[in-house]
Amino acid sequence: MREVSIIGAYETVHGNHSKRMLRDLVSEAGNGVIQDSGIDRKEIQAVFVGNYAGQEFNNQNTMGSYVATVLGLGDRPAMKLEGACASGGLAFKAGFDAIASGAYDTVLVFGVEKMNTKDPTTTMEIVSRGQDSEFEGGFCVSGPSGFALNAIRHMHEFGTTREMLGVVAEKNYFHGSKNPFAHKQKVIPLKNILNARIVTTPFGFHDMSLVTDAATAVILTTREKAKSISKKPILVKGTGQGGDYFTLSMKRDSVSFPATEKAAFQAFKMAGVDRKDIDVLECHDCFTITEIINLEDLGFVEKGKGGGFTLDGHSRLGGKLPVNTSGGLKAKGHPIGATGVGQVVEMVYQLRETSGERQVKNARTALTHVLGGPGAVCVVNILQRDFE
Amino acid sequence: MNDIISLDGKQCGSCHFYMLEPSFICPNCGSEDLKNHSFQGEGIIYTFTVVMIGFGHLANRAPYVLAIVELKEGLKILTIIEGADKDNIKIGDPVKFKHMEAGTGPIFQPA
Repeated sequence: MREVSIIGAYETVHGNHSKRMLRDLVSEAGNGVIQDSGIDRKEIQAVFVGNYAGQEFNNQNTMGSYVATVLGLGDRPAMKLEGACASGGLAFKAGFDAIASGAYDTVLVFGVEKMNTKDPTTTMEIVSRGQDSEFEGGFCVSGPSGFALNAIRHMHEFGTTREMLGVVAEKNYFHGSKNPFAHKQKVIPLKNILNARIVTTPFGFHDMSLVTDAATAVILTTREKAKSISKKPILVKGTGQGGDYFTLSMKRDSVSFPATEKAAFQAFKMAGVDRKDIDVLECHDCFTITEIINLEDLGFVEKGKGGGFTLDGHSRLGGKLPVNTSGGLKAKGHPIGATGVGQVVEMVYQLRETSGERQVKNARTALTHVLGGPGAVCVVNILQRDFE
Repeated sequence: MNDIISLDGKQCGSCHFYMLEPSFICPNCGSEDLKNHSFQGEGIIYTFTVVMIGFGHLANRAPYVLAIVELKEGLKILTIIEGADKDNIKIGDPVKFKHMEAGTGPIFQPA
């Protein structure tokens, strides 16, 4: 298997882009990543696109060919990968595998979602279809109510508190306030977070991620080629993908996501690094409880200790393991199919030390984690700086 | 009139896994040897959330209790608990099957 590196990274500002055309967002991210990589677009041999619901949000199926055509690569093999909120992660994994296997030398990995096109109820319905609609759809389980089931069980088993959940949101808003690409760039006091109107117990409005529009992109090539053309290549040291039951009621428990455990096991094994080697990470904070559970499932803390770790400030900028320096899904936003690629972009910026006010000092090794559906799809990547 | 019908699912003849979903293959072991099984309909709340803002056909039902119930037979099912005290409901509370609601699914109530 060949080693794979990232030579280009770009993301649009995240936010409500309802006044921009879909192809405008796609063009910006595509041209941005090609310019950042320093290669000619003709060197891109294939296009992998993460997108969740282009059909529902934009009347646009076949997003792989759409993106390739918009970018002047219409004659290249192109495909869309969909795994709910982990769609971007799947596109990255597919691009990685294609280079590692020798099928291609250079590929574009893209993520796009333009969600602010419908009324809130319709948006909620579209987002909820990333679950077992046929069997459990009658209960109208949304992201919030589905993950609230995890939150209440986690609170019951481990004493996780409402305040611990609130601190996840407060921290990620704080990080987002330092990120010019974030959807929400404003600090929100913990008191306001805890007093927000309840959507589904124990979640208030601030426990949820945002409905965001964005396009995100990276260019992958062989490590060998990356070293010859890039001043600051980032090595994909390890990657892993895990799966778990799609039907909510079939879960092993409600306090962990086994797909994360499996993806992390593979990624760490391939990378040959330990948890303590990770300097900074982006994980899937679709809801406040999810970040807490992720830190446990990824193996950074014991099961049940994620809330305390957060409350003690360890996951904050300046803490021992800064988590979601971008602001995460909470503040940078959650453009569903673009999120998994956007996380990689943020970690590339950290490893290149171009993250400005949110820069983690001496960041050498980083991790990304994205989770789709009811914890059914997970991709974990371990990235390392490959220059001095 | 009694709208309570039985809570019917399947059991795997190979690994004995219970399932309520209309499976053709055991989701646990992959066996096709599935037998019909009627559950007693008694269990406890494994986890829950009080939905304050709903959507779809349940929008006007909020606030309501969405829960995962663990049946005595060991399987977990997604359900709505009707008639529960929303301020005092807790994990471990005993519940029983009430009826099958068309378009929604199995509905439970406090035991």
